[in-house]
Amino acid sequence: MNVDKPIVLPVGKKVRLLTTANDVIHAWWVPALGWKRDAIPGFINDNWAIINEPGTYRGQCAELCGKDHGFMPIVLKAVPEDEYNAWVEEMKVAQAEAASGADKEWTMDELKTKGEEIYKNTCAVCHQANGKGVPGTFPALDGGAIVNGPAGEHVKQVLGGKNLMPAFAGQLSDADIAAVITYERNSWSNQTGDVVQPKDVKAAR
Amino acid sequence: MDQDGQANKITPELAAKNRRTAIIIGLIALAFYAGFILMNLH
Amino acid sequence: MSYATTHDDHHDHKPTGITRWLFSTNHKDIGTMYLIFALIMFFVGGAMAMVIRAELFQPGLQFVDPLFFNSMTTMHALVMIFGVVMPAGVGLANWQIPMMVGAPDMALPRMNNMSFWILPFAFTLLLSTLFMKGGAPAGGWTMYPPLTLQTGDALPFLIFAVHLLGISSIMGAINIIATVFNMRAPGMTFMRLPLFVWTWIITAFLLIATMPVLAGAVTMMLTDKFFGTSFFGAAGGGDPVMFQHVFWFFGHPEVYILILPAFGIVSQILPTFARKPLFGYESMVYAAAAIAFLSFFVWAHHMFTVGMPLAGELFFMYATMSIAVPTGVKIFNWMATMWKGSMTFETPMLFAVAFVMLFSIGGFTGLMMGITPADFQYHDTYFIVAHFHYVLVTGAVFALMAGVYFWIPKWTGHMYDETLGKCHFWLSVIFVNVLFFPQHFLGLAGMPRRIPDYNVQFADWNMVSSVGGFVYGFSQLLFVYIVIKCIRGGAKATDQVWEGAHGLEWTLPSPPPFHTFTIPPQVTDATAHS
Repeated sequence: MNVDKPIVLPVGKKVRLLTTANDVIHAWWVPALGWKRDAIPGFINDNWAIINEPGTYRGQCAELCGKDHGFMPIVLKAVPEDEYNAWVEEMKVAQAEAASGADKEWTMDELKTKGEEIYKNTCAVCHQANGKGVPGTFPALDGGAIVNGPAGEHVKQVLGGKNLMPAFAGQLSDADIAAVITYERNSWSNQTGDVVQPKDVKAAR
Repeated sequence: MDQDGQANKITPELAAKNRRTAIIIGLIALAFYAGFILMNLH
Repeated sequence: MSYATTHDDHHDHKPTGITRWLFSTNHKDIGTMYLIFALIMFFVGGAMAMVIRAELFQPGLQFVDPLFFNSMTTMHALVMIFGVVMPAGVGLANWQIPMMVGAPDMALPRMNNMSFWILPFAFTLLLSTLFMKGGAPAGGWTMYPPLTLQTGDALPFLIFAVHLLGISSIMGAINIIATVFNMRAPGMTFMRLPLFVWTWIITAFLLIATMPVLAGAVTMMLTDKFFGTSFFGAAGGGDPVMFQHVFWFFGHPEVYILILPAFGIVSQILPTFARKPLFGYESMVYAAAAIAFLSFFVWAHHMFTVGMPLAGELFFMYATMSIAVPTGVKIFNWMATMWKGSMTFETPMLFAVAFVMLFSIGGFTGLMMGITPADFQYHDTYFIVAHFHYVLVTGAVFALMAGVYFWIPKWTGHMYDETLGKCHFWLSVIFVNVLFFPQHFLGLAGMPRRIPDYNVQFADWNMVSSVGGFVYGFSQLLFVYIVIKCIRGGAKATDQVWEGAHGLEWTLPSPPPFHTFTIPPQVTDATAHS
């Protein structure tokens, strides 16, 4: 099992790890570190580790957290300190880029390309890659009432969640949400032609 | 029942005692139930 | 109510047909119904376990989707705990306690009827959720919010089923306390009570103290979901961890509710087949009471990873360790009871001896997890799954099986088929270890519990475990056959049944008449248990 964004940590240093959660209780566990810690909504837990050997360490969620509990990997990359510092710089640049993305006007194609990627990583576990959902449990987005209804309601639902669906306000940026909503509203048999911009999402928050 | 009067009778007194025991324990259980909910009210 | 028994002048006059069972106030009939109910539920819960083991036979998703898998683990636990071990324990108590203390019946016969007949309704509610929109509860039997609050239509059914089960258990517990306190035969002092009666009184007090706590916890969950409260919702200022504290304040005593009657059964069986009195009777009583008392101060060892202050972790670690002392007293007393005894190994004895050995394995792994820093690693892995199945299957379930083999000749008047009984024992004891022992290795290697799919490195032991599970599961059908065969006929059992049996129940005919001890027996030191 692999992840899109591994945690990168420096070796030979005492590292403090903070855990919290947005939806339900999870537990952060990399067996090689020798401990696990629950990630609880409304709480910030901490623990520490000193990693001596550079390399890739793997683990997974250890507290039952729903249907995909068995598919919640953790990948930790321990690297020498200078490599770690370089990674931090790289992340800072990427963050600045993402922040600038929130202000600009996106085209439909840009949004759809980015949206498809986010949809696959975030939404498809329940609503399925083909947008058909799972009858009785997870509603279909293909031809769905909210997806084809007013865009404002759609944004609200993604930000705030409903029933089984978690709130994504804390997990995705304005640009991410704008992109995924634009993608959903213009994919499969959905042809609303709506383009949702990051600023629309920002306004809805 | 044999005639010698040694029968293990459930006398009205014993039945009342059993009922009393049941009510007391039942109330204790109810108090625990309510207590734990009230403890969490704030 | 109870006067009915005194009006009954003919020993074997009993109602017939369906009303005999529906309106029964007879402790023997109600005991039988409890035991049959538990046996049926054993196979319902067992079928769910088979689904789990089938899915885990190989890595990957083969048979069920992950949500249904979670429902299976959740329902398997609820059914086995509340539908099998507890009712079976109450069933044995119903049959045996009045006969053991020399009472004509339970103290509150109509309440006895009610506490049984609530069960089928509670389980109808619970099992009906399997067919509901959103599926059966899938948040684990521990029902932690916020996950359990995401349950679909099934949530209120789950909560009301738990309420009903709680009411049923509390009424059963009240009945047992009232019977033992008020209805003992002349001369049956507390320190002459058979140990099974003692462990059941202690269990009954645990039930009274903890079932309302569980009911309170699920009530708060109900109001959180439907009435806008925020007991456990962080967004509304509540505390999701508080549920875990309240739940385990119930949950830890609950595990002793499951195991103490088993201790009692084993304490009856070992002296009988070792043909020696129970070693250290008084220390056995005090040890059981001490275990029950300590069980209220160890709950947070189930939640070492939620992030507690160091002082809390240390307190709960030492409190947990201290339970090993009275438990050790019991284990050593059992061994001393067998020491230099003239032992024979009929089926009940085989199960009881297996209990002592295998329960100790479960006890030791429990100690391992009681060590807080070690538990950071073991917590929520297959190691804990192995641990609690050793104490609950080879512990509680084996003792219940032993109890049924031990007393069924008394109940039916027929000996069970000893050869088949031994087959059942050996199949069970071998394959239950094939089933659960490898799970220790899986847990230590890093396999989390409650997952439908796993890394290929865990494949071998999972396959071994599943094979053990299938054979163990299907060999329990043999038990049903043995029980039915025994009810229908077999060699006539004597009144004493077992050569070394002592106690009031063995002075009655086999099978005992419908109403027993309508004339109170006089108990002296010589006729008491040992």
